[in-house]
Amino acid sequence: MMNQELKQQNRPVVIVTGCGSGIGFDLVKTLNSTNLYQVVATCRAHHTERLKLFFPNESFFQIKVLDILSEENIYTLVHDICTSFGRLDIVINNAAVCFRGVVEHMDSESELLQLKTNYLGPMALIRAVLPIMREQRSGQIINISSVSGILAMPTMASYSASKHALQAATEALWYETQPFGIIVNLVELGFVNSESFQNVLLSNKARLSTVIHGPHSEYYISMSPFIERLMKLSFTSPSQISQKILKTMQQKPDSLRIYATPDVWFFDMIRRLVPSWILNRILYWMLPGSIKWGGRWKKNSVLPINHKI
Amino acid sequence: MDAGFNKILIVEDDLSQKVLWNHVVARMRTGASIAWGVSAEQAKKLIHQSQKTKTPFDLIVVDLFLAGSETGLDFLKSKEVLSQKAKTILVSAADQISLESHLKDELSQTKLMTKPLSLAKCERIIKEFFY
Repeated sequence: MMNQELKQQNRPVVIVTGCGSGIGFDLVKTLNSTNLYQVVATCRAHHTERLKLFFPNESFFQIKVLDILSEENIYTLVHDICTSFGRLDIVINNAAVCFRGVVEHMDSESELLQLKTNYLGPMALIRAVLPIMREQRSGQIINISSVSGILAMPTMASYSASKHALQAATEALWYETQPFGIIVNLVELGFVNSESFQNVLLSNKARLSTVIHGPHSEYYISMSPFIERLMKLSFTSPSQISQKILKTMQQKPDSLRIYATPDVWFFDMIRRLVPSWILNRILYWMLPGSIKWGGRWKKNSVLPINHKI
Repeated sequence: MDAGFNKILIVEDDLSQKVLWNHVVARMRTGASIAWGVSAEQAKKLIHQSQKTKTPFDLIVVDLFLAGSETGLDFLKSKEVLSQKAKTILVSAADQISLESHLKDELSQTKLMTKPLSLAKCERIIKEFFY
């Protein structure tokens, strides 16, 4: 028992958010299998049963409910972890939500939920752990981001905005933590061959518009299957992503950006090298069905004015 | 022409429609009042106010897509609207056939009107209710 306790004390303590499904779930499976870490897997309350099913009574694996939208919940979690283990080594901000909807179909509540989950929540967790990591003179913060943080596509404005925010803040954080020996990495994901696109939420209006073939429905009709196809064509699986994140944890690279899929590297390069006035136009014409976007409101169509007296 | 309504609630986030509706109401009913909301939330507050003053709306015209998170459809199914005995019109830019085929059951008591609106279109549909 003493040896076990000593071993536990030596294991790096890792918090992972968003472990209920997708990459988060796969990641904690991978971390648990290495037998090297004290894993604290966090998820929303309704996902805990699934985690308990897969990880019953693991010595170095804890499941904690975390509402990333609640600062109080975040600070309580961090306090509990420090009390239990006396340290906190790695934080992996993986929890995210993805609303799909054209700007006109989004609403303030959905925008705020997206921003809180994908940016404000992770930043709150980072603020909670930074004082501890500074005291330790060590630590690692890994923020999981997306190619949407590099390029914004139609129907993804809100999600892209939240990922751009996370990327910018992570870049600033990289500079701020250099003196303290805290590693900050941004793991950027592109298309992954998984069912995660099924977790994308359509906004209320987007859903209605799709059902009745209303305004902007042509965007959803063309973009959703297109993204689904790209996901299925990807050679990168969730377990490969988990391995990449594990490698980042083990190697602790000083570089900010870690491209987890080849397409991220590609999109980042063309974003940097191709002038936006060329890139935006090329992408617009390449996007499926773009010629049909706008319906009867297209600028060159012969339309009656919106109202007549 | 004097249609049988005194108070009309229009829920529409496109404020350029105000000109048209003011004109429609002025032509059809002298002295009728129009209340305007851009979202379901705002419209519900207007209904609560009308209930307090015991001057319920006779006609509610609501756009399918509104500001805020609720759609016109959500609003029409809300208890606030159901508690009113007002006639209801749903306005949408979507195709009428598509609207009728997908929303027929939910909108059995509501008339549908498609955009772009015109004076003639608005008058015709209001007459169906009040003449």
